[in-house]
Amino acid sequence: MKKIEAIIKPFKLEEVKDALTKVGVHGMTVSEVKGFGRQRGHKEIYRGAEYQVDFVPKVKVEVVAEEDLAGRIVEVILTTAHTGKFGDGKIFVYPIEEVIRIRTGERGPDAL
Amino acid sequence: MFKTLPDDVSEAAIESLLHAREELRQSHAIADGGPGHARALARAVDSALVALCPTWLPGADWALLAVGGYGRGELSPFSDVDLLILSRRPNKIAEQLARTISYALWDAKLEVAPAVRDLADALRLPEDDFARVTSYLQARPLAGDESLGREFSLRLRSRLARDHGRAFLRNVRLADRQRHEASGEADQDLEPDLKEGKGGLRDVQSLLLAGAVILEAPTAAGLVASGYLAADEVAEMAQALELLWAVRHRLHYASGRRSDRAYFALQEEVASFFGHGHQSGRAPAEHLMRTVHAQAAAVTRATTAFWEHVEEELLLPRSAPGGWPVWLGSVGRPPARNRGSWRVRGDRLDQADPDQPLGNPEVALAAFAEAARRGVLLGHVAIRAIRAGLARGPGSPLWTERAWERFLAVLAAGERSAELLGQLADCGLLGLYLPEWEAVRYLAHHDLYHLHTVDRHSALTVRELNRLAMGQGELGELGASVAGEVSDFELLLLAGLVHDLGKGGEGNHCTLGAELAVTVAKRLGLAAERRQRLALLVRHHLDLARAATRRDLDDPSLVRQMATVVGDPDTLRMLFLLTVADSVATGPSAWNDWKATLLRDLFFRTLRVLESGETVEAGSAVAKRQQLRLALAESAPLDQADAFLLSLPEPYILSQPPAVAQRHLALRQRLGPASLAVDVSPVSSGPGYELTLATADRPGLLWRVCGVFALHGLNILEARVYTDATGTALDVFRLAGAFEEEIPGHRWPAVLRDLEQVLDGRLALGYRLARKLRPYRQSHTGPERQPKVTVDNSGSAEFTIVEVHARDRLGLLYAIARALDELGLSIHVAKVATRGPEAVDSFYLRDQRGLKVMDQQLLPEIEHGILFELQGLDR
Repeated sequence: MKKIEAIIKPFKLEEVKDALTKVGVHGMTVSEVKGFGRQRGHKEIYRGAEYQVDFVPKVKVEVVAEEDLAGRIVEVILTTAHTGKFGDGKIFVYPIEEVIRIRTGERGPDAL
Repeated sequence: MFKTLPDDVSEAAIESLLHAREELRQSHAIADGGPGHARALARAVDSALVALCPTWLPGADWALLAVGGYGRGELSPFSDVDLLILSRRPNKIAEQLARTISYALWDAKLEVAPAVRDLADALRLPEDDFARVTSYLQARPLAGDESLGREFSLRLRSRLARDHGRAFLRNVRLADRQRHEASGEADQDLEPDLKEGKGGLRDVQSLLLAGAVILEAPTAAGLVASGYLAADEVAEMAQALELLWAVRHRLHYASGRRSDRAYFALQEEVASFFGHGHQSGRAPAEHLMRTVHAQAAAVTRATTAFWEHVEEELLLPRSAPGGWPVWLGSVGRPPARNRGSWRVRGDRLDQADPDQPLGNPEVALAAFAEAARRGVLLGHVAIRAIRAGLARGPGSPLWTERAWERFLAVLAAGERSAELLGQLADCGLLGLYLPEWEAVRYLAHHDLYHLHTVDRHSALTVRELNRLAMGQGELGELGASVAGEVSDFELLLLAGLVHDLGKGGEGNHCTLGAELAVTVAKRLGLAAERRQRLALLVRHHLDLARAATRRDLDDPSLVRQMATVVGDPDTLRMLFLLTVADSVATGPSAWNDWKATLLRDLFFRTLRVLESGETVEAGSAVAKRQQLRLALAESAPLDQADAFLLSLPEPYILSQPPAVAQRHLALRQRLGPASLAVDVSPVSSGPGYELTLATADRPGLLWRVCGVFALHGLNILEARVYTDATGTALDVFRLAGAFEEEIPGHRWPAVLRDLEQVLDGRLALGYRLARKLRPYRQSHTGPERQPKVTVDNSGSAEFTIVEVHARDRLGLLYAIARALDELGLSIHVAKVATRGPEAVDSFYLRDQRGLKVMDQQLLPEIEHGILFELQGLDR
């Protein structure tokens, strides 16, 4: 099993969610996050006062899936979250050791 | 020795309790389903407990007391059953009894842990456990030595009555406040706590407990007789108790546990019990909750009046019994009668005479305005008097200019605005002036997003706008800065109040709300321009927030689209502040730092487009051109109008209104072979004058013109510079007198003459300015801030934006324009904002090739050049 963690632009969330649902992803975790990468932050000046944005607002999507689906998921996020501009985000893929559904105690892929 | 209770006796008692409770559950109906049902449930538990303490229990040194709500004889299906087993001296029988009762009731799925105390211990009440004090005060003997129970109650009460019960009353107040803080407000929260929340059942119990201490007779009728409550308040409270208890019972039955909060998940089921169906497009739960909110509001109204009265009579220091007399100003009756009939006590403005109904809406509104100006609320005597007066049906009042001013005073009441609006609505005055309000009163938003009812949310939005303007809101300094530039903050406050009125109807609430806003604005007598703006703000109040989180802010077409919707920078600032206030007032899911960053970003980007007149949507330029063409054709032959329009750059087309373009065309035609044509007229909205000049474009034109303005004591608020295809400059200035607001007409010819001279090269401008400015050089007081220049190359796609922060003075723009001219930079738009003694000037610049400044080495040169010229002003 793999965990796919994607940092994307906020407005791309709906599109990514719909596309993932289409390829058979049934669950995901979404959070509002802030940070910077190559895009860096930026500075706004309004009437002499500076408003520094060190961390840019992004959305983090986390999905855990079986190996064979993981590649497809990465591909889907890659195409839907792409605009070609700075700040499109990143995708991280992790190996998953174990999954347990708390309600039933099921383990492994059954618990997904 | 203690004999254990025979099993069969215990089992029989529990069996019959379970049976009785099940019967009650099945028979629970709307009729008598409130306090009556609560008493029936308590009686069922009474019987079981009495059966568990049979007469064979040896010795007389014990008493079983029901305490807390159960002591009062009221239980909800899964309420705690609070018991106290009392004895004169510690003994084993009492402990054994406690165990027997716990085990037996456990089988009936009731969690009971009776407290076991001896008399001395029970009377030693800890100061910090006030909840126990109130619980014991409601003690009711169930079994055992009755005289022991009576003695306990008598001694407890006599203790609390010391100090005329003042310490006790203060404690009740404090406990109420803490409880409200923790549990919220039942009349406004979308998931209200019916027991502990403000306006909930506990508030009524607190009131009755306090009444018991003050009057030693805890009946509502007694409180009316002694003037603590009004008769209609008692009647409304009784009605409210019926509903609140019944809903609470249903919440217990629906959840199968002690659940006093009306969670969304339970509301639907409870609503169906009360027979609420789908009506006028609303869910049954919304109908139910609206009734609940209205009834909780009735409880709050009565308890607030009661406690204010108690505080004034018993708790406030005696030193200022009457408070300070206040004259309301002329409100339609002779001052002599009016004077002294209003007083400020504590943080309330109140009517001095409790028996004087106040049926004149104008006077009532004047009282609210006075309270707003003094930063206090209206007292309960006045609220009662207004309610009583309005109940006689005075008819719809007129929106006179004075009424509008008073209404605005309430809207602008800073931190107090939300509470004052609540009072204004509660006494019926708001609904009288603004009938549309009734449709959103107590109305629940059935979603997971909002925390409050529509009316409360709207009042909170108004308060947030006040906070933003004071720099105390979520945006900090930026809020105050943006609000300071809004030309019509009053209209913005009104927009905050009415932005969700559309929720009272069916369909899209933004569209419907915009229609209602126009109706309201017409009634208020607002001019067409303000009406349209109010409607725009209401119609688009969700657009910025939606676009900020759901659209690509890097997409120029999005920003252009927002700019087209909003139309001008002033309206954008208003919409931005409204969006922030609306979001903050909604709740934490609508507002956090993450969303704030995105929203601010969108605001800045859109503002840059609107301020600079950067290319807006291609379609909109075409439409605007067409609009200008039609307007120009009214006053000039079509071929001349077309020639004029064709020669103008796109930013002009987008930023200038038709009426102004008509004047410009006339000006352009007047120019002919002459070297200069000038047009001056007062600005239609706001202070100042608009001066437009047309002349052949040449280097150094702008700073020379600015210099002449300084020479004549004219401040420049805004400058827009256009050059048409024929090489004619069309410069539009907004000017204001530096020393006086109105410029007498006879001074303009002198300005015109100097403009002609300076352009002909027949005026030593530098010399004359130095002479003019010398007397003012030392006149400024206060600390001298170093001027600051910032160059921003990322804010706009087409311009380099330079901001100059400096002490405001004559000649400022002249100096800056000179420095920029030297570097071959042309100013497209200059905007001047003053904040106190400081000016913040923003310049949208392009280089000689008509592009943004891409040469990185030039950027520090801009800074040095401007700073140097500014120093020159002081030499």
